[in-house]
Amino acid sequence: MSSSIMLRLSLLGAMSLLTLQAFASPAGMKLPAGAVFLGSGQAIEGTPPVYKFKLSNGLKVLILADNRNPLATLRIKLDAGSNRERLGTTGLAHFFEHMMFRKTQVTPEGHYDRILGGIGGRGNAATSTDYVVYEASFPGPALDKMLELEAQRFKFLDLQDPYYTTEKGAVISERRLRYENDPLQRGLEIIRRAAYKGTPYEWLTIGTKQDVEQMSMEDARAFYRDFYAPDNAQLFLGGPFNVETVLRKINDAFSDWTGKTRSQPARRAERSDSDTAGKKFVCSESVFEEQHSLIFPSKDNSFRSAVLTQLLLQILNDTPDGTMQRRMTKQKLATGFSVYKTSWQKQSQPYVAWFRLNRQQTFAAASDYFYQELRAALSRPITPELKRVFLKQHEVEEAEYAQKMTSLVEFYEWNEFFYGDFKISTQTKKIIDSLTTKEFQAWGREAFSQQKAFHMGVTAPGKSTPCNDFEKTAAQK
Amino acid sequence: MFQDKKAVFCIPQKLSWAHLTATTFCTLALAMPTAKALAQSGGGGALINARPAVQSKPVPLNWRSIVWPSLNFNRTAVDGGAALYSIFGETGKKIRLDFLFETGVYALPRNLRTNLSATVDMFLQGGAGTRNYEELQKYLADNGIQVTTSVSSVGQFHVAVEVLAPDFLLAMSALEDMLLRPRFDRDALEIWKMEQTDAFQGMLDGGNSRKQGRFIEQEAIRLAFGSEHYFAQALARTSKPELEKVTAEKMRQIAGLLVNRAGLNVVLSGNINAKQEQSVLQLMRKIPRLTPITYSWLPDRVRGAGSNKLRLSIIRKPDLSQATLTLRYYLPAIGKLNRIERTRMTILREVFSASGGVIGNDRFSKAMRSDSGLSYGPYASFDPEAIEPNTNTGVWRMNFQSPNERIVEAVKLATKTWETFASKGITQDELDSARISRINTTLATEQTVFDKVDDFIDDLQAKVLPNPLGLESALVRLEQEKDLATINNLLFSQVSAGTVPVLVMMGNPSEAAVKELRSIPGVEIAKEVNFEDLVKELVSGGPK
Repeated sequence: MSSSIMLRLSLLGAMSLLTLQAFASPAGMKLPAGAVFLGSGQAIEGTPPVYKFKLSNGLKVLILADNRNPLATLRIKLDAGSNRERLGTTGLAHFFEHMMFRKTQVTPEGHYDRILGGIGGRGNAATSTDYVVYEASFPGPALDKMLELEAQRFKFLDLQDPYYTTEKGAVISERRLRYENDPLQRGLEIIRRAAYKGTPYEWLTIGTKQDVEQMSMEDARAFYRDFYAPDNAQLFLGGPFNVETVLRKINDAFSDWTGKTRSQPARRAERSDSDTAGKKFVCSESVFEEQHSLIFPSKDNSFRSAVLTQLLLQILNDTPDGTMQRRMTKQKLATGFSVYKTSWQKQSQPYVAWFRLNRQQTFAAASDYFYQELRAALSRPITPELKRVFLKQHEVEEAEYAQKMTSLVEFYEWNEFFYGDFKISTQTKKIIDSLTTKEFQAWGREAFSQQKAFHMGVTAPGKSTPCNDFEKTAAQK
Repeated sequence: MFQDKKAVFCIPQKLSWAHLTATTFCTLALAMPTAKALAQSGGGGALINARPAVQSKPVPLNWRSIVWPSLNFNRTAVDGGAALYSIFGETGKKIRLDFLFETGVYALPRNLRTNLSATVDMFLQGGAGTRNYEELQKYLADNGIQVTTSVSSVGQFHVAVEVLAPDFLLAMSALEDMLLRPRFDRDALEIWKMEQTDAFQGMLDGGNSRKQGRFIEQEAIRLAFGSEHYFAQALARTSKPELEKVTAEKMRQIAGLLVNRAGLNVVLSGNINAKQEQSVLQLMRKIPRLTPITYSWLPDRVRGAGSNKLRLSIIRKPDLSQATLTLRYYLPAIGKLNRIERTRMTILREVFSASGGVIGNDRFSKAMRSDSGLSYGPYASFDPEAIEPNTNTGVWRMNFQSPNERIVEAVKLATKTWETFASKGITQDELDSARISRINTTLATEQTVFDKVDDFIDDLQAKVLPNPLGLESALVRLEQEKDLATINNLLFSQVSAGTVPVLVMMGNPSEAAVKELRSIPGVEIAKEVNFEDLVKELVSGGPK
């Protein structure tokens, strides 16, 4: 059960939300009552097509029939991450994810694990700022049991003590393990609280210490009622199946999952530029490795902007003197470097330049070098050779995804959730082929404008205000 | 995306899974309101009270109905003691090439280990042919070629290449340069040392569980094997004093020993053709044939503690609000397990710490997490070769966390859970469920040609022929394991032959807790050390 803050965007995930459109059902396929066929196709050549449907209750279903192995995988993703929380109930999305593995009204405590183990399957779940996803891999012949098992917990979860209190102990342990006992994460939590103040991104997905310890069962029940609804979920199934048959089975198991999402709080992560532009959110902890990020707020959540960010990184790396990281290492400026676009759903998606420094290095020197190289990169022509290399690396990445059915399903899930189009990556070639130098430069100068950037970082002791003092000062302000 | 949340097996209580076919698993035996009926009666999302389902034991899926493709490979001998194995896999666009050289860690003097690591890395990072590293890196990136150099689990030098099939010959050109014309540029070595020093320094704050785990591992090995043991010095080998001993001259000497056709195994796999196969054979023939070199030393076997007391090492780190612990029972007299014994140990492990499930229903996770809420990520495992490539020592490992204020409770619970398991064994229900779970797990295996190559390489390193019926043989062996006494006797005999129990804790226990730990019968506090002192020791190159 992992919680993650900013997920690096894959080149293959991305783009603006498309309006769902219903099509006639695929040839010869009989759909369950009320179900709608939304389209089919493949994003990667040589792989089986994906079929997309919507059930009568609003649940979206994507099916990948792949016969390479007897293995099947089922993933259910909900728009119920920590950006659905409010101050006072932070950590609820993640805590709730834990509870989904315990008791339902129709099955006893521990039932999910017992059945999953018995059929030889493996399960997991993850919560982020933007979503929660439940995944299980299992033998294809056990599909009926697996669907029943999943449907039970989505329809009839039962929050009860002593399991609620016991599981809280495990979450508190997880919080201590991942955050409280890690000085870097402790610092980042404080920095984030200041930088994203007033937005649902000011707290970590795991929640504040106080909220986790005081989380009430009533709040958890409200969260289940408000967000665990079929119209807020997507179900992805891959395995050695016949599409029509498994759609019917999914419909049998899930079509009576009723309810509507009752609340969709604003999910804005951005503050107004005047709150952050040029600001430094930096404090010190007892770390030997420093981490710094230059954040460039952006309202552009298009797939194109994600592709161009990847291209920018490629250009930064493409010099006779080595990759950007290599050059920074050689010049003793940083020990780690990356550029990426944050994946936040249906909203702003800041660009980030990330640096890891040792104690002797300074952020000022590293960021100066970054801006210098950024200017150089944005003045280079977009040549056919640059495009060829980019598309070659894209092809390699696609080949990785195509290798395994489970990877393919995750790939489609990512695209569908963040961009509403599981085939979005097919746009990549078109975007690159049609890109001009002028367009790229205009995009880059707007996206990475130094004037709007702000700095988040955790330094070694003595190089900035201790994080505890920083937090006190921020609170006083 | 996912952290390794432990997967867990179930302890079936009164489960009543009815008989199923291969396609419909587990229909409930007793009448119960179906989910659908409940929804109709109560409405979606309504809280409905219903009688919990009562279920029976799991049923094995019909694996016999599945025909797994047999592993098909061609072996081409190359004069001088080398062989090329070609494994065709038509799905996928990629080709993978693995060069496994016979020479490695245990063929070279032990004190050259850090130099060997540098050499292995610098085959790539030191430049090759006419290209320095930066130029080589660009060439590889421009052509979508991934190259890794590493030391395998049995200490061999391993080079792996992955590339799209049409670009294979471009990869071969770079590989030939790396193996036959490595440069070991001095400036690149300095950068390597800088990176290694940064990585070493970064570890010393012990800031997260991964870093802490390396210190805990070191202390556990020290307790069980002694401070001088090869494995106990893994961290010290990455310290600055050791890095300073690495020179380009020594690297060249080592490289001259590593790249040897004698004993070389090469595996070419994926979407391959005859032309590509020929290009690999040509490169193999160009590799010099030197005097064969084999193991000259191996890590020492376990030194028994002379008593069965649980020896505890406490690493104090004052900023920790929760301790991370490892509890281990080394089995120095386990010997080399045969396939039947390995199958039985798999079942025992499944009961104690399972591979399926999520929050905890095997013995260990149930105790440490789902029943007690003590620990987020308890995890236990059995390793029959704790000091691979020596094969006589096994170990049961239990890793867990505990809030500082519950440390004594956590230690007592973990040791009691183990002792109950080790002294009473498992039940018939547990045996049946674990066996079936393991059988069914095989059907949840996703195997690409490259996964099969991983298994194939393991066989090559063990110097055994791959079993074309590997999966089916394992399933048949599992099916045969129905006799409870036989399985429990294996566990009992291993434990009664003597264990070396050790416990390492990194945390901030109170004095009262330490006093209470000291008073637990059978527990002996062998060492208390401040984390800072361990760091100082490491910075100066490790224990003297």
